[in-house]
Amino acid sequence: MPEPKKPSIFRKLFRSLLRSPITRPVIQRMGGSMLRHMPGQITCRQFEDFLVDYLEDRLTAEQKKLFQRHMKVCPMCRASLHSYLKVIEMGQAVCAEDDKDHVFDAAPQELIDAIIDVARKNKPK
Amino acid sequence: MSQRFSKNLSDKDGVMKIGDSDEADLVSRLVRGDEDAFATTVKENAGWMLNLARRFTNCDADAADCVQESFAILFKKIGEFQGRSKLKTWLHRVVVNQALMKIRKKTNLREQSLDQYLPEFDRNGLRIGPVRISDESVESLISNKEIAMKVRLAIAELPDIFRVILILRDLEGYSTAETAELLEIEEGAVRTRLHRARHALRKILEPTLGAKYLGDIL
Repeated sequence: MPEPKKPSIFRKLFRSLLRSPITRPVIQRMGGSMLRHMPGQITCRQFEDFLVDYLEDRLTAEQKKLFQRHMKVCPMCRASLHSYLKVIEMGQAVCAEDDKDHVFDAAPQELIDAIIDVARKNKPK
Repeated sequence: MSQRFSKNLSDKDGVMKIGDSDEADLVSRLVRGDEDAFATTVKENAGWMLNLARRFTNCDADAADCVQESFAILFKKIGEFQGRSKLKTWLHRVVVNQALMKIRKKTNLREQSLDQYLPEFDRNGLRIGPVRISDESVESLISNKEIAMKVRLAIAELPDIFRVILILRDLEGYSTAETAELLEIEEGAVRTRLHRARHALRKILEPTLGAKYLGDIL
């Protein structure tokens, strides 16, 4: 099995700068400023604005390219999207579990009797 | 119509062995006012209908009312059922409508906000604050009963309009256009509220997911 690639010195440095509460805001500000002024890049805010349309495949080809490019360069947005999708999947998984457990469960007998009773009374003559 | 529900229908049909001809027979008996057919329909469907209504209304009594009212509609309008969709698909739509009516009576679906859960950005438009992320798979997270219960509670905790949109779009598989039609709002409003509901759900669940700060996993 190939050994996992060791992180480069730059990545290690970037990690430690991003971890520190003193340097993190500086790094973030620099990154934000770069994204705002760099042609062909969007900011995290714009990324967020595009998100729902991206997931519904409603972006234009150009917008989609910008969205995907931002995702490549911004670890924060990548992580944000990852957890955003994970929470949706968790909701769906829990819901599917509940349906599996309850679909064939009988509703309370009193409810069933009441419904049948009403139907009988209102039966067209 | 609901993709997830359609999928469930085929699963259910497989177990119940109700084919198209059986359903046509059941419907024609219902139209004739056959009491046994009514009883069978109620017994076979009340369970999942109650579960669905409970998911929307967050209240057992309201959910039971919704199911009762849905069957009252079925018995009244079965003559109009033209068999273009499955009976269960039709019932699903009726229960959803009844649940929405119930919620509308209790709250104003338009006047609620979730702004506090939205991500924050600095003046350059860059994300502020730590992003937390969990590297555990959804299956392994959900297999923990405590976490599964927290997900249920987090959905139930959302304000009505957001919960309803999240359930319709993400859990029941309705399209944005169908959701907008059901709620009588613009499609854009559905997207905005769905986005907020997802963010709120994430924020509520974050502390329970054993999530790590992004800086720790880079």
